[in-house]
Amino acid sequence: MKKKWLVIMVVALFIVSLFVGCTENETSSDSKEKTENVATEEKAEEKTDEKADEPLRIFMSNAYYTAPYCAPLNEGVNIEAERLGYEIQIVDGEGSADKQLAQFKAAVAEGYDALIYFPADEASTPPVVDYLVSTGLPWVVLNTTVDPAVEELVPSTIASDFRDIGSNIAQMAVDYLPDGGNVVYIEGAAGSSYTMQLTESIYSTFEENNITILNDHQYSDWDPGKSMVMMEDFITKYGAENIDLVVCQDGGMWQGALAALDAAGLKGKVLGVAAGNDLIIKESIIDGSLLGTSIQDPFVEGGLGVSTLDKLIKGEEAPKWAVVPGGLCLIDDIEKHKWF
Amino acid sequence: MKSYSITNDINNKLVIFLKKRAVTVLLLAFIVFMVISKPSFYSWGNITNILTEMSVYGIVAFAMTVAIIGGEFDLSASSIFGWATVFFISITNTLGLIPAFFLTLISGILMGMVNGFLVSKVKLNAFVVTLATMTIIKGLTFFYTGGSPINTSNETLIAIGAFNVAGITLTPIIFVIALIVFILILAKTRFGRNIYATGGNYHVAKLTGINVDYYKFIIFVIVGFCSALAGILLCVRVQAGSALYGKDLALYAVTATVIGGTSLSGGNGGVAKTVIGLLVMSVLFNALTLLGVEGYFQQLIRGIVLIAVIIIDTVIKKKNK
Repeated sequence: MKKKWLVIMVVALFIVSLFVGCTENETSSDSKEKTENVATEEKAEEKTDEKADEPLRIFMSNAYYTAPYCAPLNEGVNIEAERLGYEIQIVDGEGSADKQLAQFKAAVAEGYDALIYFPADEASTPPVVDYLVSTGLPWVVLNTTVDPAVEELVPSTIASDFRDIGSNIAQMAVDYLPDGGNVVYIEGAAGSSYTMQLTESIYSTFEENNITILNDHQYSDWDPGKSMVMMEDFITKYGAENIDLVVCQDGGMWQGALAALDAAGLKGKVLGVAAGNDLIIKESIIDGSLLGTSIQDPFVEGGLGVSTLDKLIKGEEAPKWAVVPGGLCLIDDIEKHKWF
Repeated sequence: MKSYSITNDINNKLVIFLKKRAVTVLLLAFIVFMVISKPSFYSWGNITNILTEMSVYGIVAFAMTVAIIGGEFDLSASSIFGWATVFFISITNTLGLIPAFFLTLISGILMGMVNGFLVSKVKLNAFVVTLATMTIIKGLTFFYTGGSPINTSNETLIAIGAFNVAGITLTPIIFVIALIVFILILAKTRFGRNIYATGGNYHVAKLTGINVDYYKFIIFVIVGFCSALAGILLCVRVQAGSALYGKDLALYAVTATVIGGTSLSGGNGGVAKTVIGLLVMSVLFNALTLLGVEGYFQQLIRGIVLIAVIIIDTVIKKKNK
């Protein structure tokens, strides 16, 4: 009896699989039945007509799909794609160029019309860029620039100027500490282009302005919890009286640092500067615990990615580097920006 | 009467096959579904894409299978893999490709030996030891590179990466060779049988005269070697190295092994089964992209399907017992 049920279950599974498969592919199987007696040329024409009626499809592989920054970025991509009449699929590249390459190959096999590449890091981009070039499809790079060796091959890059963001943060610190001072600095993730380029700018500006970073490189991995522990350790190690300012690479890190400052009774006494458009940053600027932020609007960035790709799809000229609008935001500029 | 007996015999064989190979049957059913619903799924380009995608991690999954059969577990595979990518690229840039290849493999073996020594000689728990060495090696890798990913423009490496026969690159070829080697070692040698015996019942194996400590030791050397080899293969594909590469590798390798049917309690299983586990994961990863499923749902569906596959397999095996 049990054997019978088992066989029935497996057979049923096959049938359901086949049925679902057939319904998914209803159009193609229907047309197959109908056109059995029709000439091959007519079949090809029908398929071309069907394709012409369908919206073009864009495929995007986002290396940091689940990062907080990417939630509004993905939303910006989706909304702009819908506005321009494209179908879009965004997948998680899981921080791996190897996986992203496999995803793009699958997307090309599936017949996507255009591609968006959000790389994990610069170093691993060459093989992916070479493949994207070989597809002959319109494509753009979003958020992170590629390795200089293949930069020329990229039709268009849509990204913030990370060094500019670093300069903005550093300049706010310099304005606050005109005679120099001591800061603690919490970074994002080791190896991330964003982290490295921000750090490069911040270090060089601080060196020129007699500002000392007390700690060595400390990576929070974008995690507010880790950032909070780091800040607690900094307070213990250096003493609150020796910390003039806290510098964070994004709102999540600032959230953690702020919690530690608050717990030590230092909120509003030791101030901070950060980058990003997080709501915690907005609130902190309003309550005076944060001097300001360097704007990096993920929603705008996502939208700009699709609109730039749209230009390439239509054969129009697109900028080699579409810089995502940024700049400083102090308390008077709060209402001018979107917060997430 | 005779025809009834033949039909009955076929039915019995089919039922036994279904009971033993539930995951394989489910995988085949899913492949049939994909072939029908997405013609692009069985294009040669996509088939080679799936094979290539599963090959790098697959080699580590084979080594992990051996470790699990031997009753052990190695979390440091991810870190050895990440280390191998940066070490290989950096040595390639300074000393050249061939020294980089051998030195990277040797470094992987040495790391495996440290794990093996701590588990087999010092008698520490493998989970704790490899968790610690995972962190140490990760820290070493960050220190070695200053946290930055590094790449190479070594032309020979790029040429090796571009090499293919009918779309099949070097990585799947090495994967198949590794598969054959592991099958032969496990099934046809005394070494393989002793690993099964060590994992099946450590004390009984020891009483029968098997040098169990040696086998425990060698398991970690194998994982170290294979993790380093897989790191090199990733470098062949992406020509870059980073401490962050392979962070999900150990989990992936264990998942593929378990889905394939190798028991976590040790003493049974095999690498051929792990291939089924690898195929389940790679086909699912590829299929969800082809079916147009969004990233968040992909994670959700992958998790649900993996649990479902394991539950169905376990239920059928329990009923079989």
